[in-house]
Parts: sequence; C-alpha cells; structure tokens
Amino acid sequence: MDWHTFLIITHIIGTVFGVGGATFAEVFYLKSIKDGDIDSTESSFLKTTYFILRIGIILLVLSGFGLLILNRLEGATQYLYNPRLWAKLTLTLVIVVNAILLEIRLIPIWLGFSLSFTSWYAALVLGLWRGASAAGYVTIMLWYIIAVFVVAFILGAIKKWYVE
Amino acid sequence: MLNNMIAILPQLLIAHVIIGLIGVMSSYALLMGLLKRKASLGFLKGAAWLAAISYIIAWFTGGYYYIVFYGKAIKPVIKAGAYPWAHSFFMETKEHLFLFLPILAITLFVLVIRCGVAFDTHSNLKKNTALVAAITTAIGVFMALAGVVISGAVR
Repeated sequence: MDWHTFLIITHIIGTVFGVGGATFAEVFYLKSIKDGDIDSTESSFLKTTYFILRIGIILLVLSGFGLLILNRLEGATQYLYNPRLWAKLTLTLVIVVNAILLEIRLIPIWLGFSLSFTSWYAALVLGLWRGASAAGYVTIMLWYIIAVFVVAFILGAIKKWYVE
Repeated sequence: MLNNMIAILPQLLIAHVIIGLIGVMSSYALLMGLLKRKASLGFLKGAAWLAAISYIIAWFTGGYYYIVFYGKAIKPVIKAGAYPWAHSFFMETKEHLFLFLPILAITLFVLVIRCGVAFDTHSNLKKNTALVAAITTAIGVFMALAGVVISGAVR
C-alpha cells in the first residue's frame, strides 16, 4: 500500500468517527435529557461518544496534513491554495474552538451543538464534492453559515417534538 | 556528506510538520484539561510533557531544514513566483513566532509540574495557566496554517 492510499483511508476513518460521533452525540444527548436528568450510564455513553469524536479529529488532522506534505513533496502545490481545502481547514478550526466555547459556556448550547454537527457534515460533503472548489471560499462559507442556522432550527424542532 | 544531507530533507520536513501538529494537539488537550472544573493532574502532566517535547523537536527539525535548504532553494522560488508575500509576510512572521513556542511550552510544563497540585485551590493560577496554553495553541495553529500557505507558494 502506498502512502497516498494509507493517508486517504486514515482520513476517511477520521471522518467516519467524527461524523458518526457528532450524530450519536446528538442522539444520546436527546435521549439523556428526555427524563430531565442525565444518569451515570447516559453520562458514560456521552463521554465515550466524545472520546470517539476526539479520535476522529486527531486522525483527520494528522492524515490531512500528511496528504498536504505528500502534495508538497510531489510538486502538486497548487492544491494547497484550493478554496475547498481552506474551507475544510476553517471547519476544523470551528470544531476545536467551538469545543472550548462549550466547555467554558461562552456559547449557547443550541448554537454550539449545531456548529459541531454542521461542521462535521460540511467537512464530509466538501471532502467528497470536488466541484465545490469552483464556488470559491466565501460562497462555501456563506452556505455553511446558512446551514448552521437551518440545522439549529431542525435540531430545535426535533428536541421540542421528542423531549417536550 | 552533502548528498546524505539532501536525502534527509523530506524526512525533516515530514517530522517538522507531524511532530509540530502533535505539539499543537497536546497544548490544546492541556488547555481543555485546564478548563474542566476538576482537572486530572496526570493528564495535564502528560499533555504538558508531550507538548514541550514535540515543540522542541519541531523547532530543531524546522530550524535545520530552514538553514540548510529553505533559504537557498525554496525562498528564491517563492520570491520569484506569483505569491512572494508567502515568504515576506508568512515566513517572516513564522521566523519570529518560532522563538516563542518552545519557551511557552517549557513554561507550561514547569507550571504544571511545580504548581499543578494547587490548580484546584487557586483558580486564578489555573485560569492564567489556561491562558498561556491558549496562546501557545493559537501560535501553533497559526504556524501550521502559515506552513500550508508557504508550501503552496512553491511553484
């Protein structure tokens, strides 16, 4: 197996852990708060999900930069100024800064959860949709911001329907 | 001798990037640990140690690559290309911030080792250590992204 294949596989595993983790974090959170109290089993499930999310982002960042080094060493440096790449780097930053803001409670939960959920799915979509590069960085990020609020609305509606 | 030196340059670049990223992740993990209400001292010590070691190794590998190869072979290509600001702004900034990272990481390590037991009783000490960890992580993130900008300008 060559380095490119190895890095792509690791990148996909990181994305699967991240997107899956973000999805199940939301599902477990909703199930946990339904009875108005998060018990020790529910807390343990949530902690395990966040652990998988962290593994996902570590794999994603290391393999992503591994692919960038490979591009640099093979002379394919034009990819390093690709708007899709910079959008993905921005989303990664949003995910890690959002985790800090949630920890110190400087962001409303509804926005923090929507940012995490949307960022992971947006990273997945951008990773697969090569044609998105043509839209440019600003357009991609504008669509992302709209998506964050749409997802926040949908998650709020699900919470209202399921919990309240 | 010269051929051996040139042959290890890609390995040095790979080590610089990957170990530097491990440093950024470790200082971020340290920051997140410090922000928790009840921090695990063992986790904080491990993260601070890994951050310090990683930033020091990334410092030497990057420094060696810069002195031996970048200045002579890469810098002229960037300056003559379409993105000369990748060197004149990003690399120049990186060169100066480069000096802070190992010092900040060692400071964090010493703080956690010497004062870690007092974090739960002295919240100001814990908050200010978290601030240093946040500054270290922010500089580390800038260094990583600036590295992408600089590498992309080599055409």
